[in-house]
Amino acid sequence: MEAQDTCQPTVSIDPLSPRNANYMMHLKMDEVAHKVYGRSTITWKNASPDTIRKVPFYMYLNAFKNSKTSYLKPGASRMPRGDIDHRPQEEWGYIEVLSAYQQGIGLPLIQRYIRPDDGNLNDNTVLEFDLINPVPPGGNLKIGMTYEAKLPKTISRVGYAAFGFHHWVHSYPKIGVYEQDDSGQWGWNCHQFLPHMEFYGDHGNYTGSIDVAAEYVVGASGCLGEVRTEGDRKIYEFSAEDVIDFAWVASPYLEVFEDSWEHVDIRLLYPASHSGLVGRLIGAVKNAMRYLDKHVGAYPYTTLTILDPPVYGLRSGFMEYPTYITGGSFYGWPKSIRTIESLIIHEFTHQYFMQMLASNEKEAPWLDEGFVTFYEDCIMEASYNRPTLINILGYEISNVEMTRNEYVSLPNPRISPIVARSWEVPGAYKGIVYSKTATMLQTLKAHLGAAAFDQMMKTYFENNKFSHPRRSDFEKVVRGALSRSDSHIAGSIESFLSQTLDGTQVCDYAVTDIVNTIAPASTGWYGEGVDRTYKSLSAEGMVKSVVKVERKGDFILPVVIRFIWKDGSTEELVWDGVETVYSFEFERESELLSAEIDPEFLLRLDVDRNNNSYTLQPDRLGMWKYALRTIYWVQNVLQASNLLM
Amino acid sequence: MGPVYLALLQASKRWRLILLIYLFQIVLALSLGLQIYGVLEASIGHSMSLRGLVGGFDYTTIQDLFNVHGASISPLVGMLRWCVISYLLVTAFINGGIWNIMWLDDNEETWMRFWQGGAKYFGRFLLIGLIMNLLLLIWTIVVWGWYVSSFFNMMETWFSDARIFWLGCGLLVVWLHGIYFLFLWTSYAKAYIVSTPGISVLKLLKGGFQLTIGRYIVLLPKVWLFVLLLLLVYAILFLIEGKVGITSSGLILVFVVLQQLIVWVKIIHRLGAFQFLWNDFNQIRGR
Repeated sequence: MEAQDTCQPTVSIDPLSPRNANYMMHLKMDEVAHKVYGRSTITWKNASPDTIRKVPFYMYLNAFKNSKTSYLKPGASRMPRGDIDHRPQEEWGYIEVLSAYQQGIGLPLIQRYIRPDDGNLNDNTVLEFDLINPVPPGGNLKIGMTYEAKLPKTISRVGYAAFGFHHWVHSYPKIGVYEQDDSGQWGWNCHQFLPHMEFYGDHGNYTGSIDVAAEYVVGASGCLGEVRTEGDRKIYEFSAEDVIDFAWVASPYLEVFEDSWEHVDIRLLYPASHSGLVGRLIGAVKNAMRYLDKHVGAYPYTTLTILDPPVYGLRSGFMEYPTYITGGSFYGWPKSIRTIESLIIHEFTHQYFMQMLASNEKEAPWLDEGFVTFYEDCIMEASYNRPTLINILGYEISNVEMTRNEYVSLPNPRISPIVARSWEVPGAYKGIVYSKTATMLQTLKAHLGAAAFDQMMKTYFENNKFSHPRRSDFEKVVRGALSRSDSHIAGSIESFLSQTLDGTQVCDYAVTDIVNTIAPASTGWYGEGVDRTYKSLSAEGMVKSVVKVERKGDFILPVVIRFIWKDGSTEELVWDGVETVYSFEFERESELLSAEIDPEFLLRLDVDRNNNSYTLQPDRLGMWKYALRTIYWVQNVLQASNLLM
Repeated sequence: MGPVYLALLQASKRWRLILLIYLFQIVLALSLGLQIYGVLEASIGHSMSLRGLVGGFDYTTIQDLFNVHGASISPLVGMLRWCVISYLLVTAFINGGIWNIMWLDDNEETWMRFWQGGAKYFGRFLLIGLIMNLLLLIWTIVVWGWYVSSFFNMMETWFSDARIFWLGCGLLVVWLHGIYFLFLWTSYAKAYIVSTPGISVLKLLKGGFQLTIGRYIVLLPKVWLFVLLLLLVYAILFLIEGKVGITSSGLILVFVVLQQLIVWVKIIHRLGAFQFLWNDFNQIRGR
């Protein structure tokens, strides 16, 4: 079965979102020229108090129009220049509006490209129309347009590849978002396509048809309804509701596997060579659905399409679109490396953080990529045995460890705050936006406890789904959750938020020394009145222990320190963590053996876990184990190296 | 199995040689292993994270160690390079001694013959070894250079990644058989060096090459048997380690013994391979 006869994209008959931007699109693909000829009717609702006279549209396919666009110009893109500068003519893409009319008006709309971000005249990624009839507050705008979209050879997930593979992303004129900024000012939010740009759009309905050569298999956002055959063409009806974008794939050589989870029809498109991976991919996405349904909120859509791209279309992989995600795998991928599962889980999680919670992925990418990475790690942890990600020849890595390390091993972890805009995180986008955010959330979860954290995120989801949540919406639920908790950082909410979100501080607490000495003798009268007692020079057996702790970084948060004495007794104290050097002193009958800052590893942002503890009884076994292992492997290297000598 | 078993048996009786080779290896390996111990002790010696290393592989502990103390560890990589170079030179000498003993008398093994052979053949063995390693480098570039440099192009233009995968597997088999060829060649060349005094380098290379061509297919099953035996030993250790885990001082001790036993077995295995090819060489030459 390629498509359903009836197509109900969500479980709800009522709108789930405000449906501010709706698109009726009829798309006809020219498989040879890699083009689509489109007819769109866009209906937009003016939810602002302003009268709208100009309307900007994203024309992101033009990011791949020449080598000097704001996305591809030297210095902006990290892609190899050879892949950009030496592209032949047919490998460039573009999108052009051929005609545009406002409903009821016979004159064409005046259009011009604008460059609100950098003024780059070679960049045509935002197109502005002057409206003939302004749209009053609460009014509707209806624009009909025709356009031609030409795919580039695949670049940044969009494009055509060998064997008729076509991935249609950013391939239609899409209206910007008219909203209030943080200062309350209304205006259009419609950025040019800059590095690391992804999605920002209003929720709405996308309906229409896709006309392709009959041998093509089609996958798309939403659900596919009726399929008509007209000569050597097939026309697919599609419908996606309450989504922020629409993407589709067409390729003649894709197999289809269909499954379901609860109310969701899962449709996996994959190359024949990946038939052995189908179970892993479907299993992974079901794990994600199960977890997010329980810990965040319900998935209201009735479909999910997964593209596991063929090798020649692999550049289209690793991405998320509404109710349509792309993975990335390779024939024979070992089961002990769960990157393909992890990836599918990551992309599915974007259905929550990007799609339903449609934060501005350009200006606040941490609100989706960071959150998605966090949940990817949680889902892997809940669904698979440790090590969740890699288990090869004793080299074991779990997702949550990998994510933390991507942040703490950055050459400069202070390079940018989490809340930076997507094009303003130089060289450390993944480490900061994805990994530091996820590690911050792990820290928060560990301090709050899993149940309270889940409740916090459910509240965040319910309060903000089908809208454009911002930092303040997240901060609001964090403040609420932390203030209700009995965590030792409950009194440091603002400090935690400002340091983790705005700050670039590095967290590194350390225990640097433990010294046990015989306690100074106590002799003479102590106390007053009836409590006055005489102590003779008999302090033998009392030990004075001094523990030196340091704050090596500039991140400040209260931490728990656990002390363990030789007689087995323990004590936990909370240190405010403010001083750069601080000493704890004890006088007991037993020697202090060890001290450990943050023994439960709540503070995942600490960049050096090893110096968090100090013990006078070091475990030399671990050192011997690795020293002996080194000896063994050096022997093996020596033996292998001299085979031909 | 007969000739392989015989060769391994002959090799296993040369315990003094085995001990000598083992000592060279362990001294070089210890120089690095003890450094690792020293680095660990100086950097995280008092940390309670070390417990995680005893229990298994702890990615966080290891990565934080590298992130913070990487500068102390990276010189050890350079040191390993020097260890390998030193060992290659030592091997040229040791192999000279081994082949001299095999040439003079199968059963009589004296230190004198070993040292004499080492000194006598060091230069030529070293030269042959360097030539063969150069050929290995060329062979590797020939086999893998195209595959690696064309990999992304194949990904974009080939219909199926299964074909790319199986091509890689096929090339691996071809590459390994090339190494087998070079191993036969270097071994027969050494046999010529010890059995034909004064033979020129060109002639011994030519003789070794011709003999390798003639014996390549005939010996292939037996050499595979050698390889499989070795892989079996590794697999057994790997399985045991996977099941039991190295989590206590007793187990560390047990696995150290097992690991060193494997190193010992590999030395016997290499000597056995030499002996096997020497026996084969003699059989062909009617000695």
